Formats: sequence, structure tokens, C-alpha cells
Amino acid sequence: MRLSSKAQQIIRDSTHEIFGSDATAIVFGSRVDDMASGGDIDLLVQSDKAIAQRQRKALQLVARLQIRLGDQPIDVLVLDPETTCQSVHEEALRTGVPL
Amino acid sequence: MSVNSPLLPIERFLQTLRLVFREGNHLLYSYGRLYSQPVDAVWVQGLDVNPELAERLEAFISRFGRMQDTIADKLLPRWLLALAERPGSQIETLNRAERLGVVNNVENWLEARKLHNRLVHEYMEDAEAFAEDLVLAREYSIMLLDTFNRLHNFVAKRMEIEEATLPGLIALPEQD
Repeated sequence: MRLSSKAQQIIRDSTHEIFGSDATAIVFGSRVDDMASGGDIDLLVQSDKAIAQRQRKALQLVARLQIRLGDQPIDVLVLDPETTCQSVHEEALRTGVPL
Repeated sequence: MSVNSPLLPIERFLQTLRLVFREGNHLLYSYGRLYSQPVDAVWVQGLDVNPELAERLEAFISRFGRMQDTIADKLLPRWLLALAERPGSQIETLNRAERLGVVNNVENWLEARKLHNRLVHEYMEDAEAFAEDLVLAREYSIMLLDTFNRLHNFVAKRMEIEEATLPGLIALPEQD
């Protein structure tokens, strides 16, 4: 995992602020590959409860993290019971690291 | 003064302000054309058989992104230079603009930036999500246009610039 423990804490806290305490942030993609360098921060926010305004909240999380972690490319996917699970979600669940 | 002499910071800023005024009015036009109908997932799916409408959408997305980029990358830094301030990174510039009351909320601004990115890179991948994004783009468009007006008001009140050299205000659409 190439994110400092402080950055991980910020991601966890920001996810809970926006999506509620039931939501889990999962880091996937190049940031969980210790051999890679740099790269976007790819997050999957997973919740067993339906999340209203998924698209808006994903934007809010990206913006807040860009302020708190520094301006850098961040992508957020949301997976709740109402989202159709696509291959990208499955891949994130399979390879990602929950914070 | 030779024709090649560089513009003074204030002239460069005013030139950019006039450019953004034009971009804003073009965005406003596309906004009116796009949102004259309800935009939902069914509407998004219908784009496949309605190329004229798809082109209208394209114009809107492009103008949304252009106005946002010009404000953040050119207008605000040139405005700070005209105030004899030193612009920093984009977020620093936006923070300064927020403190001076020109940008209403930096976080919302970054949301709009991400939204444009998503409209371009996740174009119609998922009709439901794309329609939701287009509904969001409606309010973020108002934010962009309003930012121009806020800056215009700042310039008119706080900088010693003749009103006649300024472009007008942008007439914000009414939201239902």
C-alpha cells in the first residue's frame, strides 16, 4: 500500500463524513501495488445500505480529498445494493485493500 | 510604446475577463438548449438515435469545461497579478478567491472540475449515472456563471476600473 497511514486516516474519515459511518473505503489499482510509483488514487466506497445521491457524494469525496491530501488525480466508485456490480467493482473488491 | 510591448497585468486581466464573459454567454445558450427538456436516463438512451441532440449535449459539456478552465487557469491568476499578488497552485488561487468572496466555495469548485472530467471520460457508459451527472452539471453551471458575476462585482467595487471598460453581468437563468 503506497499511502501513508495519515493519508489512509484522512480517506477513512472523509468517506465517513460524506457517505456515513457504514461505508467502507477500499483502495485499489496502482496504489496497492508496492512496485508501482505515483499514480491515481482509486477508491471504491462500499456500503450495505443504499446511498442517496451517489454521483454527487463521489464528487464531494474527490474534492475534499484533493484539498486535504493535495491536488492529485483521484477516482471514486460507489457500490451500494442499488448499484449494478460491474467488472470494475469486482476487480476492486478482489484486489483492493479496505481502510 | 511599440505594438509588441507586453500588456500591463490589469489590461491582460480585463482582456481575459471579456473572454470569460463571452464564454459564459455561450455556456448560457447551451444550458438553455439542453435543459429545455427533462434530462434523465431515458433521454440519455435516446441520444443514440438523435445525433442532433447529442451534438447539443457535446456543446454544453465543452463550454462547461472551457469556462471552468479559463476561470481557474487564466482569469483568477491574472486577476491576482492585477492586484499585485502572486498566484500559487490552482487550489491556492481558488482559496484566495474564496477569501475575497469571488469563489463561493473551493470544494464545490473542485467538485465541478471532477464532474467535467467524468462527463468527458465516462460519456454515456451508464445511462443512469450519466443522467445524474447532467442534472448536477445544471447547478454547477450556475456556480460558474455566478463566479464571473462575483468577480465582476469585485472589480467594479474594489478596483479602480472604469465601468465602461468592463463587460456586463451574465443574466443567470432561473432554476426550477
